[in-house]
Amino acid sequence: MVRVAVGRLASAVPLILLITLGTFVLGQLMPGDQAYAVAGPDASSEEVAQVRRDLDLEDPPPIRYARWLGDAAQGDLGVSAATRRPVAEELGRRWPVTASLGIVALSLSLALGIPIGVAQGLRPGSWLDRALLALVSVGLAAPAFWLATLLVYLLAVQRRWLPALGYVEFGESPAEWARHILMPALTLAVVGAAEIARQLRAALVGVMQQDHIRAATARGLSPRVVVGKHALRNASLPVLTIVGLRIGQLLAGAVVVEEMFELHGLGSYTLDAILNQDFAVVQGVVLLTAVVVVAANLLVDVLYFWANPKARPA
Amino acid sequence: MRERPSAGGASEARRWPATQPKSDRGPSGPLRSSKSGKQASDSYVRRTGARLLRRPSAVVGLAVVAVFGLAGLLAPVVSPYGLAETSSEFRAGPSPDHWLGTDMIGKDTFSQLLFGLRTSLWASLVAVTLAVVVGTAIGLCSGYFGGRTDQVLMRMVDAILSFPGLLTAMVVVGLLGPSVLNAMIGLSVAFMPLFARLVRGQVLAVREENYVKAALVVGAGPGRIIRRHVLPNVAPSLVVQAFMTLGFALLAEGALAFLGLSVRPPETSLGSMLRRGFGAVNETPRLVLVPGLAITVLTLAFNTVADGLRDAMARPTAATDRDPVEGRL
Repeated sequence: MVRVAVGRLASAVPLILLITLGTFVLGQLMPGDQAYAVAGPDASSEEVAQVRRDLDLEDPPPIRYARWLGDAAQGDLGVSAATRRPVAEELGRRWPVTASLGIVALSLSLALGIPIGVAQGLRPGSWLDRALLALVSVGLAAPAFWLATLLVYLLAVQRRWLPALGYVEFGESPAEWARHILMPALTLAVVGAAEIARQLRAALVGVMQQDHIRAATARGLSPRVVVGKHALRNASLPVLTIVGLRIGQLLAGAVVVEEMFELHGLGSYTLDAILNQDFAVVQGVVLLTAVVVVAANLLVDVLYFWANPKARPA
Repeated sequence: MRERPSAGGASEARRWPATQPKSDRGPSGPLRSSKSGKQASDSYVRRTGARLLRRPSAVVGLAVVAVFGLAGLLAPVVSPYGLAETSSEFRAGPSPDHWLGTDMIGKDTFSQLLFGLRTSLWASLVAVTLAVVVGTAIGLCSGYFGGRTDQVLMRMVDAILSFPGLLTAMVVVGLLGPSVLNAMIGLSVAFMPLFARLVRGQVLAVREENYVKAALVVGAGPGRIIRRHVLPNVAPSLVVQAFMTLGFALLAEGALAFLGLSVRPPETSLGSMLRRGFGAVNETPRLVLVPGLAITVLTLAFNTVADGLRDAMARPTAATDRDPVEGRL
């Protein structure tokens, strides 16, 4: 298993390089001169030249990419054009917000999606299955920014149960942290829960028809053991795939949700960078996302082998 | 595309790359020879259509898509008020004059909805069409030429595919600047890999078929093989995937517009309508409810039609509960 992990990591490096190179090339297509944009309309030519030096815009693109790569390998992601602060430092300051948002959202997705999927998969075609299917379809189709607005309206405006915006650190007050994180996390969790329920239902319907399930039932095992021990383990593989995909998608979803709930995490940093065309920050966020996605895939692979011994390399 | 070979089927046959498809799904859709030509494919389309129309959910989905599509298409003609037209009634409730009321600056919500639908649908349609065309071209090149071409193209496709789609679109918009056009480009970049992988897998599956080998022996060139054998086989899964992607595109364009990365005022889309309503959700939740419901219902309709199409196209033995291609937004 360690060998597989090392192999995956080795193949991930070129992937990450390709993604950052792609972003860099795309950044070269960015309209306008970045130095002028940062220095402002009233800047003298000396000031523009100074900005150009500060932001390392003097050299030709290939050299700049190579230097960025060298710096990035040492943990230096350059400075934001808008705030002139180091990108790596800002990412380090902001990631706990997004990480706690993502972890709570993923946990909620699993907590909602698995029971729904199991209830559907064990009795396909029943009225409960149909009702939940409709719910899942709506969950897949409803945009997160709309759900968030409805949640804010219902839970924060109509009834003042939860705060509409802001963030409190876990270390400061766990209860307040939970109150602040619940609505944004729930918003992000809905699509994931629907996706998990949908895949789990399909997998369970298939697994429950297999001979070893029939044999286990015939041996007199209780439904709880048959489903819990035999069926669910087999049906968990597509769920794992979804969880792996969701981790990357949560980073994208965080952009929308953090903007709406005024959380100062990676998502709002990304959005500011995109609106300001702050290239160093965009590049830094892209690199971080690529690393997170690769790590998530690795984790899913390892869990795959745990859940399905047949996939283990000899 | 390659030059048509002068003669000799055997040398042509060897140009197919010898590698086997690894991770790709096997053939899906009606893997059959198009020997019998147009007639066969016509009857296939008719049979699939008939099976589709036997599903109530798919019929409802199609009807919703048709109504919303017409509403968007005819927005400038049928909308009671103009795009930028304001009245003196602010935040008025629904009335005979304003079917869905007015917003905080006196614009008629129903008219805004029609124009918003028009922009959102158009942006999604262009993004998906672009993704289908570019993705199909890349998939065809990759599958047909194989070898180095295949490796380079698939590496690029995998790199994009590994990145969350909405973030890809956002980054592209961020680097090119916010506008509807760039939002469409960003979305098509995010969706393109789905189609490239789908088509490549189909090419790899089809090239093992005897009728393709026979066609090569007879001296058919790449253009003919692609047109007559590959495209007819890949078309059904492409259509399903395209409908599925239209749903995502609508959601994603909504998100981009909501964040101010797509349309600029006075142009409106469903996402930017929602954004404006979000600021006033305390006083008039209706302004959020209307565009949000429109996006949800339309996405639901696209997904339902895609599901129905997939089931209608599935051969009896195929599992019907699977997505055509994994990896969604």
